[in-house]
Amino acid sequence: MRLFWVGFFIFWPAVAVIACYIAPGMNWWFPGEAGSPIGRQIDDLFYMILWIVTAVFIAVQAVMGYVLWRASATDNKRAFFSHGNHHLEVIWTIVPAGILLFIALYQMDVWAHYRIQSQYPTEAAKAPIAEVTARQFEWRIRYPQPDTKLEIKPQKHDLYAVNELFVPAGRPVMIYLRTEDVQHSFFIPRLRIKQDAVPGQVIPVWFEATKPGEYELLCAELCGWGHYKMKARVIALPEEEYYAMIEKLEQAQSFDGVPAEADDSNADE
Amino acid sequence: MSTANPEIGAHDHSHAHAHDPEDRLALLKSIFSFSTDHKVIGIQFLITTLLMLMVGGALALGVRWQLAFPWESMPLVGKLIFARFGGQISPEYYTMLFTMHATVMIFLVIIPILAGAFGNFLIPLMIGADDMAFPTLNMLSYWFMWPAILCFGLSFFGGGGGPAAGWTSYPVLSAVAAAAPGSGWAQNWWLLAVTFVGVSSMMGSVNYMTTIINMRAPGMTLMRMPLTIWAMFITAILQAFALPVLTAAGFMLVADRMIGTCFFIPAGLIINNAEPTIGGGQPLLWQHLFWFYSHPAVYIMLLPAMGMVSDTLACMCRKPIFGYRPMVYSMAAIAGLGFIVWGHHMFTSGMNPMLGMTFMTSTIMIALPSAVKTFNWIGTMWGGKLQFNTITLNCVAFVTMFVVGGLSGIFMAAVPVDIYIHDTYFIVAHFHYVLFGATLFGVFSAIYFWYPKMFGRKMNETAGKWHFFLTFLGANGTFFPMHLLGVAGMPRRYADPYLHPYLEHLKPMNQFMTISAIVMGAAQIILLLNFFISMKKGEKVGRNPWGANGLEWSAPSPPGHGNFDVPPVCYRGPYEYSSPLDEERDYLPQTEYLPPPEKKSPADKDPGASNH
Amino acid sequence: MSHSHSPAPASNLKMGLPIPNSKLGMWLFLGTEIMFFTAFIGSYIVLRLGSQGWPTDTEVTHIKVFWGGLNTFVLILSSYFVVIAHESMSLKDFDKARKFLTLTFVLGIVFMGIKGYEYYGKFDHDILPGRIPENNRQAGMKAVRELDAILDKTGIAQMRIELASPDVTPERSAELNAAVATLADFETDVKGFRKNVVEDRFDLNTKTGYERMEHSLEELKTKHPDRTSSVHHPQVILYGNIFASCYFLMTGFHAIHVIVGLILFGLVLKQGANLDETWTDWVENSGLYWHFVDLVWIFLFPLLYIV
Ligand code: HEA
Ligand code: HEA
Ligand code: CUA
Ligand SMILES: [Cu+2]
Repeated sequence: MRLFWVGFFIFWPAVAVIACYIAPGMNWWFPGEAGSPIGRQIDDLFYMILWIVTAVFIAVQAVMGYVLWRASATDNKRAFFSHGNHHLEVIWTIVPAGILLFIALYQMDVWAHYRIQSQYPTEAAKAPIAEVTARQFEWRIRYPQPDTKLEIKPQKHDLYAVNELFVPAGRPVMIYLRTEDVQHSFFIPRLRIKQDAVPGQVIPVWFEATKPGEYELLCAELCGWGHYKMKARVIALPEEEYYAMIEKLEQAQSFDGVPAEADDSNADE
Repeated sequence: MSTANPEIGAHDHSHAHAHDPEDRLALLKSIFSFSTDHKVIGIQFLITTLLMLMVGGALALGVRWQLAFPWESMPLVGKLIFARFGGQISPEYYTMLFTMHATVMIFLVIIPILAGAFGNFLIPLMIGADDMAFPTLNMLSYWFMWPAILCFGLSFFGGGGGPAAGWTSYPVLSAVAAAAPGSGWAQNWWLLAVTFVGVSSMMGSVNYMTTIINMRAPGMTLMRMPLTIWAMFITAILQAFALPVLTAAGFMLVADRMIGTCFFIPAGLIINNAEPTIGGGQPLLWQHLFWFYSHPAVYIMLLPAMGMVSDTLACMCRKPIFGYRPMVYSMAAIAGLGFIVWGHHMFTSGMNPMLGMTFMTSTIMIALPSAVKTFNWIGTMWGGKLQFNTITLNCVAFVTMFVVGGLSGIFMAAVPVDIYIHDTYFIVAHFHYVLFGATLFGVFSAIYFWYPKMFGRKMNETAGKWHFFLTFLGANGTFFPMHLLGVAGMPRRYADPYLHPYLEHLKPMNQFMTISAIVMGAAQIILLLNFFISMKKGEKVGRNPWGANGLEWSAPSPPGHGNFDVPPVCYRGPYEYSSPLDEERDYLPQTEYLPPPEKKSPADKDPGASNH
Repeated sequence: MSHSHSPAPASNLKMGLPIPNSKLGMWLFLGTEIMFFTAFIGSYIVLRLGSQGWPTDTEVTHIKVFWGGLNTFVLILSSYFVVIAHESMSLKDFDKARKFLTLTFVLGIVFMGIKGYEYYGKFDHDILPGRIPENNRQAGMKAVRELDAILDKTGIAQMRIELASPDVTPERSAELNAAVATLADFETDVKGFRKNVVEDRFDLNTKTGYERMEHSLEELKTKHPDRTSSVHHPQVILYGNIFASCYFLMTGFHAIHVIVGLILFGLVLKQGANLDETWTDWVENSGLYWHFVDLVWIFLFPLLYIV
């Protein structure tokens, strides 16, 4: 029994470690590589914590296994009578304190980069590309008319779309995040970006999709029965294609059904 | 392996029969009465919460079913409960399922089983008092659970969906009925129930603090109190000062829903195509108030288990607890820090980023006292003399599971990483490891350990081991893969994650988890059967079957009214196991007077030692 | 346990604090109460600082600083009387204790009376959470809603339906026609007003537009004085709803605490001449509670009435 139970308590951490080890190969891991610089930094921090924590985990479980094995010996010795050890207490307070403090301080920069206003990428912050408004249960997107600035208040010539956000690839972009009703959360897993849309607030969010492509956009804050189906896409396009796309959107929106040759006054309507 | 420690059992038996109580089920028999006896109230709480554990678990199985086999008719019960939808779980009901699962587990299982059941049963016994300071208040605190249970029950039938905002109940979803059609009265009942539970715990905590401060037996100085009592004391402080905030917030939310106030509702929201809301409130205010309570609450849900495990572990290892004082100080530190970390639940909420940094640092530092405790438990096992009985197994499981849950907390405490894993299954993994993995295993060990004091009999060892074995495997099989789901980006509270192509391939893993959950559920039936059958069939024991030191073991099993037949006097700390002062036995009860030891005794050199 | 209970040398210490359980319990309970009100006060501060504005004009909000101040004085005085009452209890001068407890009780009632008067002012002007228009349009709509409700109550719509039905008797028909005739004028006016608001003929977004609406409503009210007596003047109070929410929340919960205090004292007074020293602890603990209620008000008064 002794062997069985000590083995049992050693066995399961081993399984846990192995499961994590094989997870990337089994596709039980991040949904693809991080598609943005900040995402890569987040992944790096994740891995750093993962290494520290794995080391602590293995050490603790191994020591515990050993201690259990010794303590369950069937000889006739009495237990070791001790109320503790001052030096040990100091050591196992100071060492983790150092590690933990290191973890905390090491995170600051990335967070500051992502959230602190003065550190926003200036170009992106100057010209937000769109306003994303979450509502039960879809994402509404408002672009400014080409060559104008995005205003907080909707403008006459703004362009509207639903569940499809076009962004230029390869540079940071900023959006204004709002919600029309309850709280939602703007989550792009492959870019490692998440920001809640809080009722009554307009929150600037910046991100960057390094490569052109389609990225899932979903909602990460419970917002009602349809929370799971706020499925949308962020489509990153090379710069020119992006502008072309916005142009196309504008044409589609201002198109009044009458072919352009027949009625060319619609351009300035 | 049917007896934990044969020598001790035998030793005890020789003295036991003298005080053998007439009626071992005396306490149980009064559970349907409005008794003011703390032991009866404790057992009332224990049985109620164990049954609620089954209810909460059954709801969890509903959740798991949907995640493994979305939109498929549930076997057995599906046709009955969800007849309207052809037996399948509608998304509204899915929301209700996890909301009520969490609510039942937290408000009707974990908090009352720790503070209500064990707090009530153990505090007077362990400090040598004949009852609580305010027995009537104590009785009320149990009976206030029932209106709460009733209201939670009613909220299932609130019409078309039940409470629909998760256990965190974030406004505006929870504040405007139109935002979640069908949640109308259900959400009100839910909030009302939370208020009732709040009142119940508040009464309890004032009572516990008064009792612990003022009713200790002669000689029971603060630094001779068992760690269970320290834990209960600190928990009571947390309850008393954090809970009123939730109660206040609850009133504000109810008012928003019912009488038109707008504390949490900003102006101009267009909900469900209705007129824009009139308002001026702030939804984030609720999150601050809620987490100001609910973060301390997670430690309310852990500290008593930590305390009880310290006691059972020391006894099972036949060794003094390693570092008694550091243990006390670290619990105090956890409680103190616990009040200043609530913002870590709101990293992505758009609060001031500077606050994010502060909360991150305080959160990561809270791991420090937890680390000290973990190492001290291992220190306690080190050089001990233990046997793998059910109690030991559950204690060890407590430690290993707590380490997993705690370490995953570090990822989330790191703000940048939390940006990604917030509201994914990584969080779900974290809190099930600490709540189920740590707390419940701690509770299981406490049940096996103090059961003889409650009913004068032991629980069955073989069944206990099977229960442990299956629960442990089931729990890890269910909850460990959640970490991987989280890393893979699967958001929580999704009725159908597979709608999103990048999550489709995770279905088999979810099916595996569901099977594990069913195994774990089945194991709880063993626990329940063992618990009830052992009342009649368990091996009879005397006052002190485990050879333990605490005052409670000097009372009869079960203790009669007024607890002690000889008023206890406390002469030393509770952890003098294997003390060289007594060569014959490996324990030295707190009540036993020994002539002053000669100065050369090793115990005197040590700061944590017996006589202060 | 053979040798466990051998006579113990000198450990017959009393553990714990040298105060009775009930008093300790009361102190701890007050600790929880402090957190309860701290939550409200904290929320109030957060909401107020987070709001872009706050109605402070007492003309508009019907805050009565004088009466609030008087209430502060009333409570402080009553707290003082409780102290005397408790002192007399310990000196076993129960008549005196009763006298001062009565005074405390009466002052508590006076407090509630003044509170009631203040509440009455707010109810009268419909300064209630969720019902305050925050812009001109909402003001217009509010007047429309109130008028519509009155019109509904007259039952004119039902009468028309009944009239149109084929099996209405001639007598009934005459009766109904008469009733409808008396109402028709009012109906036309209300409908006209509604139309003007809904279609925004007043141009409500401007100040003059609001005045036009106000004027038209006044006209309507003077024309049908007895029907429209319950129509409130649609006073626009920007941020009024959140203000009213906070005001009623805090004063309301404080008032509930005052009532509980009155019950505590009432139970003592019910003893009448039988009051004896078994009640001393009770009086002391209720006194502690009463001081706390007083203290809360001392925070609420400046926060709600003055700032
Ligand atoms: C018993 C309950 C309990 C306990 C004890 C904890 C303990 C901790 N929790 Fe957890 N938590 C919850 C219950 C609990 N939590 C719940 C229910 C939620 C979700 C609520 C919801 O949203 O529904 C949650 C959510 C939650 C979040 C929010 C995540 C999010 O929503 O994005 C965070 C973030 O920081 C967090 C952090 C921590 C930390 C750092 C600890 C620490 O206290 C852990 C400390 C312990 C250890 C670290 C292990 C032992 C130490 C060592 C072995 C030493 C060496 C270690 C190192 C050097 C690293 N928790
Ligand atoms: C103490 C707290 C606690 C405990 C013990 C558990 C236990 C379990 N939890 Fe729970 N859980 C929470 C607290 C807890 N949970 C919280 C706070 C949330 C967050 C909710 C939110 O997002 O708002 C959550 C959410 C949550 C989710 C996520 C839902 C989602 O986000 O979509 C899942 C999914 O798998 C889950 C599963 C389980 C399982 C399988 C168990 C198992 O361990 C259960 C095992 C027990 C049983 C299975 C009982 C068996 C009994 C029977 C089968 C007999 C039935 C008989 C009778 C009724 C007489 N839980
Ligand atoms: Cu939108 Cu969840
Ligand atoms: Cu927390």
